[in-house]
Amino acid sequence: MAWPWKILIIQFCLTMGLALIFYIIWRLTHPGQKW
Amino acid sequence: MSTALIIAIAYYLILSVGISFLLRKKVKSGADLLTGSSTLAWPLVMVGFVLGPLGSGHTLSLWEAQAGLGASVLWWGIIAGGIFVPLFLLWFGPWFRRLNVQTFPEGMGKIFGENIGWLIAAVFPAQLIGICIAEVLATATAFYALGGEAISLKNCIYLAVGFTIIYIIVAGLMQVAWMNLINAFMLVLGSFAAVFATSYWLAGHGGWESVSDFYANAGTAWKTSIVHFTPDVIFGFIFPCLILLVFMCSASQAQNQPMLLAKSESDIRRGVFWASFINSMVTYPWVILGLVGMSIPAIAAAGAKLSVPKLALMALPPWMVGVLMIALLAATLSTCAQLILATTHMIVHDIFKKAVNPGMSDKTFLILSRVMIFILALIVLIPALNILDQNIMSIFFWTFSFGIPVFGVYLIGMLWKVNKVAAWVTMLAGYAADFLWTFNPDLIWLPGRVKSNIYATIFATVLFGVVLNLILPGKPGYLRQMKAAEQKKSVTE
Repeated sequence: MAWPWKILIIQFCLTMGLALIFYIIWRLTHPGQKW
Repeated sequence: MSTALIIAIAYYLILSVGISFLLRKKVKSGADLLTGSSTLAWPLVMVGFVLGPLGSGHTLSLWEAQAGLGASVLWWGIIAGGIFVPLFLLWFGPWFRRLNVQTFPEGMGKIFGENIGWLIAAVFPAQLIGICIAEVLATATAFYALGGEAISLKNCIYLAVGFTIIYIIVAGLMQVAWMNLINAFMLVLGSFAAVFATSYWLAGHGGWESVSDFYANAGTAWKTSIVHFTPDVIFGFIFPCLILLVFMCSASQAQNQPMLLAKSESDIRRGVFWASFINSMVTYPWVILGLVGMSIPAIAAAGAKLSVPKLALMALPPWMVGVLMIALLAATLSTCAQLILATTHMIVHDIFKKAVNPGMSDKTFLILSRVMIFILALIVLIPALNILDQNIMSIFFWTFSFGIPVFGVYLIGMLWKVNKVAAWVTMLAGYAADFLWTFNPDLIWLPGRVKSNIYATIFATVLFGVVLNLILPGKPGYLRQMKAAEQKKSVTE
């Protein structure tokens, strides 16, 4: 795989992974609320 | 005039005039213009928010910075999309709504007393105008460079300011939301399409390997890696990004204002994953294109700032250059427009209405807001015409850093403790550190790797904010105060 596509995958996974972690923290601190 | 320039100008004229025409009857009051009257659902709130902090910092500055730091500059996108956006949309944005205020200075006044609100209302417009000048210059550079230098840079500045005005003048924040919805698609699709088209062009010129080989032969193979962590990258780029994005952007009226569009708090939160995706991923194409551009000696000779436009003009068909220009302008124009609108809101609401004429009619408020948009555009235009090619990063860091003590004090007040003396001293200490570092850095000692306005201001904010609030008594954090008031109200009902 060429280097730009490796960077793309890493950036996507890091960004969305961090966003998911923050969402999980928010859900845990706001029980009963989905959004 | 080049084909690309015609395509971009036609697109923005049709989009701005078309959306203005469709929304013209929806704006009947100042509240409609500046807050959208809190009627919109999450997709529009999300795009209304996400393109605001996504301007030249996500595009032009990054492709320029990659010349020195390589692909590691993409951490700007990861921090913005993966940390700042979730923090803001899940917590800070809904807090602002809960305060039930129109502007961030008004919110600070509600927590710490009106006088602190006046101070911030006086400082913030100057800060946002400073940033707006930088964004107008970036927009003008996009017109100038991608248009093949067909029109002068001065005329490009007039174009940039003109398009900024028509982005907001008819329907204000609601217009921003609808224009951003279309522009967000154009930004993502246009910039990624340019990467794929460049990949196709590269196939006939040695492929992506030719780029990595160039950097390997130059002894800088690390430039094509995103996980190249050196002290320069960590202290000179990643930490400042984190502080600027989380502290400055979270306190900015330009980011808080779109929260007023939402029908409810959940409409703010629902867009979090889309906003994270857009805010981060749109940084990628510009950095990759910059890396390709700087690997071509003829382009590298013109400097990093022109690397992407020169590559586009060399490798892409004219219509694709036009699409790329639309994408770049989607980032910078939306930011300029939101900065002008946010500044208008603070001046007209906090100063003209609250301080000068509390009985101001809604009609006067609406007229004043529109007049102020024109006046602010003029205020941005004059310095932009005069600084042209000069390095504006010092203005950028100086003005950005004014948000740091404000948000530090806000965070302490919301979560921990409300003490007016501590708030005043922390804010003034933060402002003093920013001024001193900018105009006489010898007066402040900082360790070698952390010498910048951002570090001076954050150290002053944390030191005074934490120590004073540990020593002095105070009321509980404002979130707890609001919760207690709600519980008391429900008991009495």
